[in-house]
Amino acid sequence: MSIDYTEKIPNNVDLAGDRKLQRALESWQPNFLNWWKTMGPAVPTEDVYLRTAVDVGREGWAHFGHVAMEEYRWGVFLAEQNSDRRIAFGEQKGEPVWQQVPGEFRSELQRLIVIQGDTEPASVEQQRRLGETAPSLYDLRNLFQVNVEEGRHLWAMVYLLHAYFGRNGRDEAEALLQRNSGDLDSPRILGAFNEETPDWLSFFMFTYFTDRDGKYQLGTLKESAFDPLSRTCEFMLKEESHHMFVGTTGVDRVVQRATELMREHETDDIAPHGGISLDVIQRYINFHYSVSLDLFGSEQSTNAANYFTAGLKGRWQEERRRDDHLLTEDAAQIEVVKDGVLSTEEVPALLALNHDLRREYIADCENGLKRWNRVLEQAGVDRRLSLPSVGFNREVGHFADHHITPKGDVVGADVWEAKRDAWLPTEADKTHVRSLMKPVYEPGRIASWIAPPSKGINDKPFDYEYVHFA
Amino acid sequence: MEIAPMPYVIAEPCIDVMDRSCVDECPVDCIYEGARKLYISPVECIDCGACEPVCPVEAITQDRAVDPEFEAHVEDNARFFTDVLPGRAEPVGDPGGAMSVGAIGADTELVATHEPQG
Repeated sequence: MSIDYTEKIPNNVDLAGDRKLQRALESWQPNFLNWWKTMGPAVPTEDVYLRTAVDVGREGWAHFGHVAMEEYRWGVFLAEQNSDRRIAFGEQKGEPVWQQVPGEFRSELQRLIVIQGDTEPASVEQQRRLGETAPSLYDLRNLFQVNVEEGRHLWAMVYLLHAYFGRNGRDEAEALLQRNSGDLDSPRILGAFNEETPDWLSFFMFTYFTDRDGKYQLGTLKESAFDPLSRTCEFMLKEESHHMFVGTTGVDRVVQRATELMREHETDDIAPHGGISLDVIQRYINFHYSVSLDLFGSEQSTNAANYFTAGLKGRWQEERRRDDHLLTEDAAQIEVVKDGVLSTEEVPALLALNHDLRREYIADCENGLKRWNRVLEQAGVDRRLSLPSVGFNREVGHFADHHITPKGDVVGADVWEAKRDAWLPTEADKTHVRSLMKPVYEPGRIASWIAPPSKGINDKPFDYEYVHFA
Repeated sequence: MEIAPMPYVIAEPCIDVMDRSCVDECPVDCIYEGARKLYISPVECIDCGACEPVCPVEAITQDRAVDPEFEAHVEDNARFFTDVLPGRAEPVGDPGGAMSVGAIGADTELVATHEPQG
């Protein structure tokens, strides 16, 4: 069905036909708006040129226009239903998908939804103050677009909790607004979402590496036998694409600007000239990539195996894979440290599902590095950026017990600590990057440390007035 | 010119179909229209995956997941942008968006010589 914008909560799930659910969500709405006011973007604006979802089908799903952010139409949108859809994997493969939550999987499904839901408001909180130092109005607008859509993704998960998980679900929906990123007493569930996003280089790295983790996590939930979750995630992926666009092209532009300054001043040390050096960019890549790898969980996981067997969470591109979709007889190779070196070990494929998803993610990230290295190559710069070893700087899973260099050498704690500043952003790096973060709010102008985009948003020029301040 | 790495690839099932749903989905407007097939710019694609699920004939996959039968399309997608196509004076290159150049109206040799289908 099409999106009903006459309702207090825009939706395409016929909220008006379920008064109890509608009232429950309408009572959650003021809490959400209060959270947005206190934990959302800190820069006061009159309106922002934003994309708003208007449909979920192929006839154009969004329109663009200047809207006051607090009046953004956050709503509940599920992808179109396929009435013939069948479970693609696990013990119930071939059976019709579920329109209600089976009692035996209630707590597991709720947990999956809460963990996904918890990441959505977390990133808004992490990025709350970034608007105060935006390098251009174009970038400021992109930040706000990401923020409002992460807010909408929260709505997507809260709808599922309210509609399908009763009192417990409503309590969990409240808790999503009560936990806060970095809060010592009540932190967000996953570690990467309690890290600061203190500057725009971190923001671009986050939207490249961490939002790309989101692409893969949502991709596995899209395969779920619980059809409302599947349809919710399918539509969220559409919006997530923009977030990855912001990260990919953001890092492009920082690298591009670095090469321009290197050529102009004939030095790699461009910090005194208002740039971010390739060394610093590499250390930021090392950090954001490694903390994002942790989001995939342990390499071997019985939880992931159980979720798969039950049909709750599939693999990336499950339906396109050419195997039995049961995996009970299959094996997989995972990376481990054996006899003091990085090696591989064969384990049951069912236990290695987190590793399987992470491997897909890593292949995406390798493409990103090729892309940024192409910028260097075209600029005539010999230096290349790289991804660190999968075992580098890990705090979750098998590698958490080891010290591994970016090149993949297993070393002692003393060696690792001695070289740490060469591999991860230092206080000096962060201080320098922060010193560059000065707001540039004049249409068509941009900060010294980043190149302008090759084109604007929705065919508007770069110098378009994307944001009006209050 | 060096061939750029391909993130997503449109393969043979698109030939003579050109549904264009993927064009509507792409957030960076990087899917270009030949005469009989669509092509993803390897330089402009951001690897977001928005195009892949909307293709009604499952012609789009990540480069690493292309059906071995269609392997030639990985390089061929890139060649659409680097080679001089029939009837054109220079390569398509990296125009920065398909909408600004419109339909290219020509194909690579691999696609142009493919038997009609669909």
